Amino acid sequence: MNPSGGFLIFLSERVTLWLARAGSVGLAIMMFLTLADVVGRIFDHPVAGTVELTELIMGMIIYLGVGFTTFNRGHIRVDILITMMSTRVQAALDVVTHVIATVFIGFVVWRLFLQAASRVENNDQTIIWEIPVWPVAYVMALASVLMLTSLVLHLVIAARAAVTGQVMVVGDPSSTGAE
Amino acid sequence: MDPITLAIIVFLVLFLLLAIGLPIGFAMGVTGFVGGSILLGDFDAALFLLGQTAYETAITYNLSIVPLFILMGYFASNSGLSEALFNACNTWLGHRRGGLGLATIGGCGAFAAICGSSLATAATMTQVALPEMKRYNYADSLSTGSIAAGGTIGILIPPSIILVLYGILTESNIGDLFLAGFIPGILLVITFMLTISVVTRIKPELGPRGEKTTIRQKLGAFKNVWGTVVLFLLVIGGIYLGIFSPEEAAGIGASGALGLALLARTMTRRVFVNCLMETVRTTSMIFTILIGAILFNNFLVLSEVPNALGGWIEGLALSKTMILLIILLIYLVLGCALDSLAMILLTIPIFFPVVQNLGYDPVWFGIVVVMVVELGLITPPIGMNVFIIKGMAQDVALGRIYTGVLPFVVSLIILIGIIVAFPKIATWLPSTAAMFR
Repeated sequence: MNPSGGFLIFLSERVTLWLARAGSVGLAIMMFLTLADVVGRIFDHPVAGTVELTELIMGMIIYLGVGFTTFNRGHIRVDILITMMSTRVQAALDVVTHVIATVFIGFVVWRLFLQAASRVENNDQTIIWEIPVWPVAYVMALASVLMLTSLVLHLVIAARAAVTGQVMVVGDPSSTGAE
Repeated sequence: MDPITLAIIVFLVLFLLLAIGLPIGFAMGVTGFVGGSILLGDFDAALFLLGQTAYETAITYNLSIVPLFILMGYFASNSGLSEALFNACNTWLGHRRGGLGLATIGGCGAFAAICGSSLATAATMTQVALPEMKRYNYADSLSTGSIAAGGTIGILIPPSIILVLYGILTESNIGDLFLAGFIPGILLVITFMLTISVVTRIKPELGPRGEKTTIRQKLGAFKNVWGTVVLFLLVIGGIYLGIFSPEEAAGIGASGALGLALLARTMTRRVFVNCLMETVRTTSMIFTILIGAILFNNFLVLSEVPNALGGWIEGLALSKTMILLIILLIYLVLGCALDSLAMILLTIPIFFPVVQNLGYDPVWFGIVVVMVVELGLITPPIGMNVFIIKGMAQDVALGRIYTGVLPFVVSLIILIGIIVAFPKIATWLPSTAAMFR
């Protein structure tokens, strides 16, 4: 792969990793929030708005992590049939599946932006803390773009493998980003 | 085109896409979306539904239970708790015939009480139990077979990620599902232990006895496992008594497992960060499938296929039991090709309405389905648990593991038959919890 391609892979790897790290911070907060709420309730001081805060954090965790999962080829698929074929055929099928996935996720990303835009328009707020929802919706939409770019990246890699017959392994399904 | 023909085409396309390796979530999502827009005859409406599903599913409070229980499992797997549990069971059972095998099953059962994943249970037990069994010259077939089988208990004894997803999809009470899995889970532990006893009675050389332990050692073994017992009682007891919701129980469980790992001094910053990252990655993967499954489900509901299927089955003049057996058989076949999670998310929207129409208890059906999924985890050609162990014990041939698993497959099928014949085994415990709510 030429240097510019290498740079794009490096960039995707870094950006998806850091977004996932941001998501993992959200996860830790969500856990302690639930704990604090239940313990607080025993002493008659539950954390106000735990449900709505959890919802906002959940939305961000999912989409902050999905680029990382996609970059590292972490989505479950049925590979019993394709592993029986030659690497060339596998790469060709990878091209087909990645084109389908890219188009579909393209629609999803576009629609997530429209969802976010409608939150601005309606000025949606949470009930208890009256937090505006739109920034979270935009985080979700923006982070989902990384799922799309990762799919395109793997599409290009698969296309090259289909043409040249040389497979390039990018991403590690068991990665946690630890060096 | 009439909806039924369309549905058949959509199913064929779905299976084609799955076969050529499109990830399951994308495959269900794209077929559900395209099929739905054809049925609606309105592309804009379908697009709106797509965006709404992708947004709302991610931002639902009830679904926070998924990452939190996964996190609990990762904390538990990385904290050395499995080793303490295995050692305690070994102290109690090791001197018997096939003792280390019994200890493996016991350890798996106990670990299942703080971990909701079969794969994680099998993986962590392989690390702990396999070297011990090698040391005592256990036959590879018995050692790997008992870990593969024991690992499946992870999704039956609560908490269970599979039961959570079943509950979300069928809108059943997740607390009830957890409680319903408890007694069948204990029975499964006993059944697997009996299996080992029988196998080693016939061929004692497969699993030699370990050393005898004193009463003092036996009591001392509790010292390292009380934390796990307390955490389980806290999480499941809290749900049973209605003190907190399953979502809250998940948060308590994750924090509790973190606490136990801190007490055991096995939790470093690095392990902590890794557990969080693995959970984020797994959660995104599961939600991709979940969103795809919901889109596909929307399409199915629009097409009224489940109704048509239900009507068609009623017209077959088969007995209720026959229909159930056929459904379970289909699960068994699908279990050969599909991952357990994907299988639940793909099939429940289709079969659940049928089963519900027949008047079966949704909670009980959930337990039966989980047990059939367990079977799929250890049967060829795709037994995920077997693959996990094969990956960690390269020197053992795959065929040998499957041979070792075979007696457990037989006993699991027998236990499924018992739960099917006596549904009360599953439904009794949740029914007693009703008085606390």
